[in-house]
Amino acid sequence: MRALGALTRTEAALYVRNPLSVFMALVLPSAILLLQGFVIPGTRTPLGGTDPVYSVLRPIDPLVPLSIAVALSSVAVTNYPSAIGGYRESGVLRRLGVTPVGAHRILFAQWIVSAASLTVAVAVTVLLARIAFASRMPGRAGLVVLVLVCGAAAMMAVGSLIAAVAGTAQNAYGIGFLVFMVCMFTAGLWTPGPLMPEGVRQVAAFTPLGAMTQALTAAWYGGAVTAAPFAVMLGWAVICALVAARVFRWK
Amino acid sequence: MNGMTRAQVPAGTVVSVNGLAKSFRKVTALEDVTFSIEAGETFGILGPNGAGKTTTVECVAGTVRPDAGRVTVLGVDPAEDRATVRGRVGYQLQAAALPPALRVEEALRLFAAFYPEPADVSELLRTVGLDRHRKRPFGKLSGGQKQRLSIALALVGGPDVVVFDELTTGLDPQGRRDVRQLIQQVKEDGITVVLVTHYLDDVERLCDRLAIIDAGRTRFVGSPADLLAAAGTGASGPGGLEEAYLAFLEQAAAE
Repeated sequence: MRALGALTRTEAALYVRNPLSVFMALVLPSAILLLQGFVIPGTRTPLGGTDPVYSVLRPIDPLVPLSIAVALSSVAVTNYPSAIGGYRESGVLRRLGVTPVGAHRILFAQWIVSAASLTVAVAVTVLLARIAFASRMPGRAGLVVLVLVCGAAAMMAVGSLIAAVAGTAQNAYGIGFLVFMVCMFTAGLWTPGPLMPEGVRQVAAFTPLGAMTQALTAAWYGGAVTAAPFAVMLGWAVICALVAARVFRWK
Repeated sequence: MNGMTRAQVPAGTVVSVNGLAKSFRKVTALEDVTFSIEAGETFGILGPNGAGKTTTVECVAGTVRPDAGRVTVLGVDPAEDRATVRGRVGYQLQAAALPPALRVEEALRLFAAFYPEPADVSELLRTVGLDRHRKRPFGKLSGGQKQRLSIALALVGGPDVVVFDELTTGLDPQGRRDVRQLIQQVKEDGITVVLVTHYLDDVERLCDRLAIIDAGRTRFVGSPADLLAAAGTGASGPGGLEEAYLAFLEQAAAE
């Protein structure tokens, strides 16, 4: 425990010293929210239509869960794999491997730091939405937290798969960014919430971030939440984690 | 070095390597490596690039499992009883860096947290001459400073044995002198030192005995004086050992 504590403190210090990590996790999601809200016209007038849940929302409202999805992807598929890729490249994993604690504990430390940075990112986004756009707070907070935990597990497992095979920090970042962009599409960054065409939505529902964003939006604004997105998220989490554990290279 | 007092110093053979063989896919790294290291000894491992020195060290560390042969470190098999070996053997690995933003003292305190009875960090920083650079990030250290930090990291657990893999490679003369002085201190403290190196003057100044590994086989085990005698070059002045080493390798290649 003492070793894990020391590793976690060190990882946290390194995280804060890396401007790119801080930007991707904390600045980018807030910037997207502010940009959409203040620069793009019409994002603060209600959508209208017949849907009892979504007609009262403004386009900016579904962007709140979406910004959280951006933060989650930043942490899980860019920051985390590039940190581990860098440790493999520079021999940090090899060096830790010959200490009594072993190299695997640095993965635990990374997960703790990722969870902490994600929590901060969520808090910042929610606060910003509340202050800047008077957005509604989540209707069912417990359900929102459950969706976030499942989504984080799925995305961290995807990130672990990238971390397992990318030989260098640069490679990990490259692959991670590609996955990040695909995730942004499936989450609906370009077609938020109810604006996403039905066919795309059905496909996106089977991707980890698509499932999370749809469930999160529904839980947040009072729509119907089914078991399907949870099954999708947990499926991704288990399969990616198992494959990552099998193919992980320590050097 | 007061920061590194140890409860007990082992006696007898601390590292024993017998008939070691290892292949990676189709590449044979080791064919037959045999030597043993006595407690308190400073033992050099020499050989051309790609000879199998690092693979030998990895087998001693327990990170690589040999295909054949037997390794015993402090009485146990390092691939089986990793905990014992890792707790009592300190390593400096070839080309293993730290995160560039990690500061000197942070690195040492982090590694100290991995061991049950670590050395005093401040004392160790003074010993390796980095106490004035304790806040400096690893990425901003000179080559010699990085190596002195890696020595400190190898020592922080209070080991009985330390393994230095190409510690002085790529350092300027001053950096090499400082590192050599440090190894001398480690040696005087009774710690068994395994020194993988390309430099015969390192061996001449520091090593009690050495092994020459070439093409995955041990070609020679003995003292520097034995090597001079075995090579039959007759030169014993400055550079004599290097001439003897090269002559020995050429003889081995010719056979």
